[in-house]
Amino acid sequence: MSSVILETEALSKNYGRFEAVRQLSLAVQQGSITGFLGQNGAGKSSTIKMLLGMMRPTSGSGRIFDLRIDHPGQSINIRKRTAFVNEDKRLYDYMTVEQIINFTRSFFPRWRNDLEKHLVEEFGLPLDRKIKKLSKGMRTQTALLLAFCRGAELLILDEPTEGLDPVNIEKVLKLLVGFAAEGMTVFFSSHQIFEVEQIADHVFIIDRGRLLVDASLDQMKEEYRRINLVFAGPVEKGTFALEGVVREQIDGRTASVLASGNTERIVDCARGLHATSIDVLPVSLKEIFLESLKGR
Amino acid sequence: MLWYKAWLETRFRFLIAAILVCACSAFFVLGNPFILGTWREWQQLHPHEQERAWILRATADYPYFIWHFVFRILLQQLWVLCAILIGFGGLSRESAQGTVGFTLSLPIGRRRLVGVNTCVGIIEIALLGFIPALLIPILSVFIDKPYPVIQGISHSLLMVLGGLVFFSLGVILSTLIQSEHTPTLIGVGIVALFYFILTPYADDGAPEPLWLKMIDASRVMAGTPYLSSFSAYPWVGLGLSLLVALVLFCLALRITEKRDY
Repeated sequence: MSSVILETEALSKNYGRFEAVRQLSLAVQQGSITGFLGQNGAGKSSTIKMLLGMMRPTSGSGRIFDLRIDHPGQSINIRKRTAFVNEDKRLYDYMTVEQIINFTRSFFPRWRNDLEKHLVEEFGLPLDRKIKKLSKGMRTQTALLLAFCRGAELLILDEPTEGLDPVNIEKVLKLLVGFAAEGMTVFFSSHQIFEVEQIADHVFIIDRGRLLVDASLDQMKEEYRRINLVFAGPVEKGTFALEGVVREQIDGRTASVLASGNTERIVDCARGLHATSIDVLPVSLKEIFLESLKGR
Repeated sequence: MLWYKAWLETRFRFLIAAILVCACSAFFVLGNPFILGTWREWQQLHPHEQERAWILRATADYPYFIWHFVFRILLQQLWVLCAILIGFGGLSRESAQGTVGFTLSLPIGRRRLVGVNTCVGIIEIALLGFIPALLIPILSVFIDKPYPVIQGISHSLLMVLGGLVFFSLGVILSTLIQSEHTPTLIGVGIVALFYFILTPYADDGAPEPLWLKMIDASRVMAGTPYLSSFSAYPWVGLGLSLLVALVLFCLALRITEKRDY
């Protein structure tokens, strides 16, 4: 049975009067791959920085491995068991790839030398080249290597594939799936919804600091439906104000309903209104994401 | 490895500073006969003009000459500039460079990060300070003017301890200002202004106004021309200078611990 490895309770972060993260409550299961979705400025990076002790929460609390994220001493213990890749992947320009690997290795007793060797070859990283001379893609690959080899139990990745070409994105996604299979927990933010859809077990969607969706991907695929309806006559707005309706779009005689569940009841309602056509379709994560944001 | 990182971050500044300090020390030792010759020529050309008191003394007293140019004025100014430049760094600078996320993801406390950076900086500026203490007695042999090693060490020690306040100024500026180059400009500006104001008092030995005396760390760093007895050291000034440096270090640590990155 899996247990919660990362949790937050009403976590909030304000920058002056601006609320970047509002009352965020998350729970991440051990061994899962969790996608953390949101638009730019939604509060993803602020949340991640609070998890790693880079920022102090304005209110609320958070725990990783049952250690408090806002306690400096406990935060060090969290980071001993956690690997992180920052959104911009900036590393020390004055070090070579080999120097920064040696530097990072010195802080992690469970460093995975075998994986390091494999990834250096797989990514084709030039060990003697200075970080400042690397391409954006190679810098991202180096940052990923430095995170993956830490022997961590939790991987927190902020836009991990940004700057990579499709071939390398695929390699990284495969690695993440492999890590999860070994028991590592992966928590990653991304703008690339297809990546989340491809590998995640669980998805959080946040917008303007607030949690909009907290569901497993299987659950979403099973429960979310697009119901397209055609009627003999015009339909009034609010006709489908039923439980489970995320969004209702009505245009004359046609209606389109996005439902997060309760599909049968909605279909029954449409039948009761003498719908001439009823199509119940599966929904992609992209559609759920976009509709969730529109619905705000 | 944190020490190694701190060294890599500052090594170019340190090496350039070491070259400049060596060059400055060597110039005033090996150039001593030339400088004295120039003064003599000037005196012959202007026999009615009165020599400044310090020139007369520096002509006759080689250790005084070294003290005046090296520990009192030019090398001291160079060392202060290097100390303030080596003081720049830390998490605020990393924040401006974008590497703070990587550093703070490592299992290290901020106190340790600040501590290691500060220690490496202090070691570097101490090494810079002791270069003249060793180089001057060695080079003095070549011009047949002995310079006591103990004098050099005493003056270097005083310069380093009294000048820690400038290093701490660099540390606090780069903590307060999250920018890569602005703290450097401000720090260099402060040092330039400080020494510009001091110039007439340092050259001519004119009495300083009280407010200037209170902040004149350069006088503490220079001490007296001969540090041959316990009472020759400016203990009060040294204590105050060290206290201010300590307060600034603690302030920088406190800000770093509390700040969001």
